[in-house]
Amino acid sequence: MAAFLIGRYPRPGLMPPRALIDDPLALRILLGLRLPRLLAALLVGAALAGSGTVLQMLFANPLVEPGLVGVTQGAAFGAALAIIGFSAQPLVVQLSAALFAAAGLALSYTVARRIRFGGWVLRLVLAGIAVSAVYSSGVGMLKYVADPMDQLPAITFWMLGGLWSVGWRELLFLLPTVVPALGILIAMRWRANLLSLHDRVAFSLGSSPGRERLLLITAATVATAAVTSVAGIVGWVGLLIPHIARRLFRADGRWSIPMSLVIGAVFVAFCDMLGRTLLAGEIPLGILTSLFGAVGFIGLLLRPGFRIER
Amino acid sequence: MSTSIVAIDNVEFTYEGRHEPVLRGLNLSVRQGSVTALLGPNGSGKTTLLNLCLGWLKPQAGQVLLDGTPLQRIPRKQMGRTVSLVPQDEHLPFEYSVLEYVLLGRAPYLSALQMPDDSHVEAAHRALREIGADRWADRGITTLSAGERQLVMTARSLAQQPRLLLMDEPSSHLDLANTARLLRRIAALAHSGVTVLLTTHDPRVASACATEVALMRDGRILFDGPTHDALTAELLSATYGIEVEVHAVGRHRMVTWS
Repeated sequence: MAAFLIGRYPRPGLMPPRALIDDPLALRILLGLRLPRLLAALLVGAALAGSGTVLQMLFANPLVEPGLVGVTQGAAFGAALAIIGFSAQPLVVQLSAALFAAAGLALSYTVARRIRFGGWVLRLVLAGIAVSAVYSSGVGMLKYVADPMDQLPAITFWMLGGLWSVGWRELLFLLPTVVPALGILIAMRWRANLLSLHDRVAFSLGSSPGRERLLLITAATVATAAVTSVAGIVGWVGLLIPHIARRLFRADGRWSIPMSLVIGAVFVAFCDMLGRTLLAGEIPLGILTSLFGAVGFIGLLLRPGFRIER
Repeated sequence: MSTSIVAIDNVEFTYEGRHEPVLRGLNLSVRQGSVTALLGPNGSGKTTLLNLCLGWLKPQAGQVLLDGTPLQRIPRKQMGRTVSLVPQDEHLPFEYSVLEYVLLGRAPYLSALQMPDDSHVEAAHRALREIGADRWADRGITTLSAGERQLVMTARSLAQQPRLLLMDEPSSHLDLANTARLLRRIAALAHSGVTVLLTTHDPRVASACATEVALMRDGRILFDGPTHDALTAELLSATYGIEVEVHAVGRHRMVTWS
């Protein structure tokens, strides 16, 4: 509610309730700009944190985040390509980012299947790192050929992450993909515990770990790709929030997955509120989430009792 | 006459990328209600054979039958309700409580979208009580010692209520008291109709709990039969490639070497 009412109109700070009655522009700003943006921020945070929690469980590694399987760099490449090739039209940028993010996962998966050594998790991580590096060099190439006057700043700004361009249309673009994907993560929250065990043990418990993992990874990736295509690169949410959720509640997915969605949503909405209100010009969301995320992570690392095995 | 629950029929297995087969035309029948110990030196193929019985590995030749049906034809959920695995150790990256971990043993009785209810929690508590570990229910799994974790992994398998329990070196991390407790529990399981197939490289473990022993060397079964027939100086010397002596102490066998 605070994020909904706080802004820089009619003056910096909390919008007085009276303005909603007296000032038609205030109501339009609230319903046309702040409400979809707030909902998008909640959705971005929930998607990144929920995906992070599930991916950490599936990879049995608390240092994994959604960018690991080529998704984030894929989205960055897709967005940069659309900014250069299609004059940065918002819908094209989003579609291109989502397409290349999904292609990042597909490519990582295909490469992982062809690696002839190691377990499934190791192969996917290795493939994801390699695919991300290919995309990353592609982004570098696009930046190199981009017009330094308008295209290069647009790419750079997109990669800093932000929700300034989000309205109802962008929100509607997110809903059909993100909501079902998050629904799958929530529905399989107990099963995710099982899939955090070694493949052979999960198999001995009657599951088909390869197939079930693929379903959850796809859901997490679709959610991440969709929100990244709209919001750009919003870092650290998928890494930090799962740790906080596990620490405040339980490691069991029945608690950690839904609670990471809630905490992630509140965290991104809070950062977005700060980003659009602290200064006269907007601070990109990705800068704030990275700042708070990294500082928070250092705090977690230094707390007694916190440990990461392996 | 007892029937076999697992029949391993002329199985050959080679790991991908390797030339030397791990198992070479291996035949073995595991009797229902028995405790069968796969005994042999390191690298003789014991764990590979266990993984084949689980269906985790598929043989390049021959077949593994469970109740007369090839493993690959048995649905996954039915396999989970019939066969369980206690690995030698397990990497657990998150601080699940012991109860939450043991509860995972109920997975074959739940669909992918179902949550365990009170009856499953009670089954998990029962499994912990059976192994004498109920007092650890609320402890974090990563705070347990390797031996305690091995007992908890066994409890997770018991919560699965399998008919065939596969145990990979079940006492490798246990102290004397916990080894005795676990081996007694294994014998009790066999009395209640559960078949146990375990690997061990320690003849004392086989002597203490197995009704039958299969001696393995270089991917083949050298001998299989009743424990007292298998644990002889001649057979164990051939299995391990060193001269050993076997001494009877009560109903146990002590193995010494020079």
